[in-house]
Amino acid sequence: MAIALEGSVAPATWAPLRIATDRCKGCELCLVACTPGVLALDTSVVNVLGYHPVRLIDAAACTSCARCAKVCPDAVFTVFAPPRAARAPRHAKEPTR
Amino acid sequence: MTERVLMKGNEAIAEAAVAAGCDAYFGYPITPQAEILEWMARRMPELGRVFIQAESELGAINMALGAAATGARVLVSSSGPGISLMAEAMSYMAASELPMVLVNVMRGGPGLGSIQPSQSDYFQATKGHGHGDYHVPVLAPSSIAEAIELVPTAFEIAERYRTPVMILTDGSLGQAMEPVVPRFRALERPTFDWTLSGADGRPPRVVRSLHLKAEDLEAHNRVLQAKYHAIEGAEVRWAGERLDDAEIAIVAYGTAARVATTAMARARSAGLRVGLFRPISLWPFPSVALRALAPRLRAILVVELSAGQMVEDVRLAVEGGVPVHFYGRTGGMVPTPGEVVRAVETALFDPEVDPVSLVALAGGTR
Amino acid sequence: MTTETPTRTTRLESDESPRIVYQRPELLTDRSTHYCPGCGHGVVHRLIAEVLGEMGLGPRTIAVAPVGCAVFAYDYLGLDFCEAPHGRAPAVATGIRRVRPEAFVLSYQGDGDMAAIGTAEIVHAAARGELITAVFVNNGIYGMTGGQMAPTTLLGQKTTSSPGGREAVLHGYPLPITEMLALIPGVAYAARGSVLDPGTIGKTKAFLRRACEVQLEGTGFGIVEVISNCPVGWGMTPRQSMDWLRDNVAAVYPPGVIVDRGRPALSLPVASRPEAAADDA
Repeated sequence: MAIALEGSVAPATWAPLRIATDRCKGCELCLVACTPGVLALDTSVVNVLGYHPVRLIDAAACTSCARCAKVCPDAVFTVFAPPRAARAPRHAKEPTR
Repeated sequence: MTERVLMKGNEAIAEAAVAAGCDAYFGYPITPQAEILEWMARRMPELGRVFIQAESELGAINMALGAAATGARVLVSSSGPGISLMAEAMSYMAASELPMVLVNVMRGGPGLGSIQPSQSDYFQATKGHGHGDYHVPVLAPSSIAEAIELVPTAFEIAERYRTPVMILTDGSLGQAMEPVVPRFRALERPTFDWTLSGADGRPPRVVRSLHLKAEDLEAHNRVLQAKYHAIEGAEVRWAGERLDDAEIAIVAYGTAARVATTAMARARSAGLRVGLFRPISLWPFPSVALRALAPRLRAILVVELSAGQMVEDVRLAVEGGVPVHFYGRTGGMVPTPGEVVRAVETALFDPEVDPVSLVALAGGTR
Repeated sequence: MTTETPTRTTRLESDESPRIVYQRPELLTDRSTHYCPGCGHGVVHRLIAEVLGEMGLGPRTIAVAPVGCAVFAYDYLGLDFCEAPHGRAPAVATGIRRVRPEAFVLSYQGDGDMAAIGTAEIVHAAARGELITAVFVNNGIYGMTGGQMAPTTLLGQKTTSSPGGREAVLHGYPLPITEMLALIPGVAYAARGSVLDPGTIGKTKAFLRRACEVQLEGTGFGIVEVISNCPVGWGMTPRQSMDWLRDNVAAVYPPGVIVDRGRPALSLPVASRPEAAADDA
């Protein structure tokens, strides 16, 4: 399922994760689940629930595997992956989108 | 249909519920009401309706809770010990404002007790019987014909006010067979806007009784209390016989009222001006009518198949305006008309004597 | 809802947009849950929302909420809900199921609700082969009331009502409720999942989906137990609680499919050894 980012036809930036930081409880289970280790609690922030929310600290290394989203008890993550056409040609098949 | 048919009390109650459009029956065997369960076990599947003999009264009443939450018309029946098990769910159903009819065919108690008739569950029925501030309307038939009338009435009250309703009867009425003209009444289906059916094209609904914020729960309690005031205003039922010139009124319901009727006839032929005030709604109790009657009387005699439960509501109602005496038998024993006549005489002529001591004369131990 | 600022940039070819790999399921309401940080209830609620959403069952579902931490499930899942007295959810679900043949009926219970006070109700709903899907969140403790011992608390585990640690002689053994239920012919599907990590969570979701299918197929009663954590009740951080779940709980309550009578060819014997159950997943 594709979503359109606001504004431009060819946006310059995008993020692999969108995090609802106001819902995060700082439980750190996503940090445990994340294999490339691209998440950390943002100790400079205390959210409305009173916790340090999680933050993506290395977007380039994020593989969009969604392990963080799968373990999150509060469903704070939305995970994006690059569209098939923009990916490096790792796959033999034609993209279906 | 004007033909009279011999019907057993329990079966008449069950068939009245079927005729009134009962969608589901959940029950568990307990004497003396197993016939209600057995009648429904045959009739409900015949009509494609729901019947479950549950694993216990706990299961049965909670199945009723779930079914009522979807707007189904539900009947449950039991006797004392089973009704005690149902107290928790009754509190939940009153709090969640769910309609349902529960029949208690009273037996001797307390505890496992006996299987003979009694009226010793009056407190339980009328004082809420589960935890929390609530009441359920309680209707007490004193004949099988009246039971057949009161069953659809109970469903109507339940659905009109969104409340469980109890029909309080006893093993004698449950087991007896009487000729009745079977005036079974069918009921219309009201439409509800609170029932659970799947949140298809509307916001989800929740049937709940938990309100953790005290302010919210107080507001909910006020809603419930307003409902009970409305019921007190509109659903009082009682019957009087020969009260116009009575000097003593027997106050009794159910089977006790039947015994009292015979006693009244005997006392009258002996020249005593006896009348009968028979509550049909035990909650709301016909306090206003009783209080209006009291000044014309020399005495009231309350007769119950118990150690004295309704007598407290009678005393509250008359507010000391007339002496209130009590006569009762417990354990499943049923007073004879002769005992009641003697109690009437004692109340009139030996008011210092506690009529219950007469039980020893009747051969029972006090 | 705050949005993370991206630190990776990439130039997209044409006007293709990033694909959504995962997003919050629609059947979860917007409310932040009252569950403690790291609590497995949040994961189970999410899986229910995902499965019911994917199967299109949301508009037909009537769910039953327990007494326990998850009493507020109805604030977090956008479904019609009926609150049940403690332990009685299977009976309440039975009542709903019988008078609403068109509904999809789901009950949600914790370990006290199902394995203590509600043991009779769950056994008999299973015995009747009631067409309901029961979700059983087993975290071996009574969370809402402050961390008392549950029927599924492990031997040696300390709780506020077994302060010296559970001892068989004083407190009995942990109850294998789902294995017990699996013996009953009316049970079409019984499985145990866990919230330990993405892999087991994915399997749990598959178990949940199968338990829902079994209701739709009309083959009988379906139950998915999910061994879960209770960090606050166990006196641990969320990370530590997952270690405990993996190292201790899974040995006593091994994940896997315990029985699937809906697919007779694949029907498996009741798990008797932990490794046998693990192979079934």
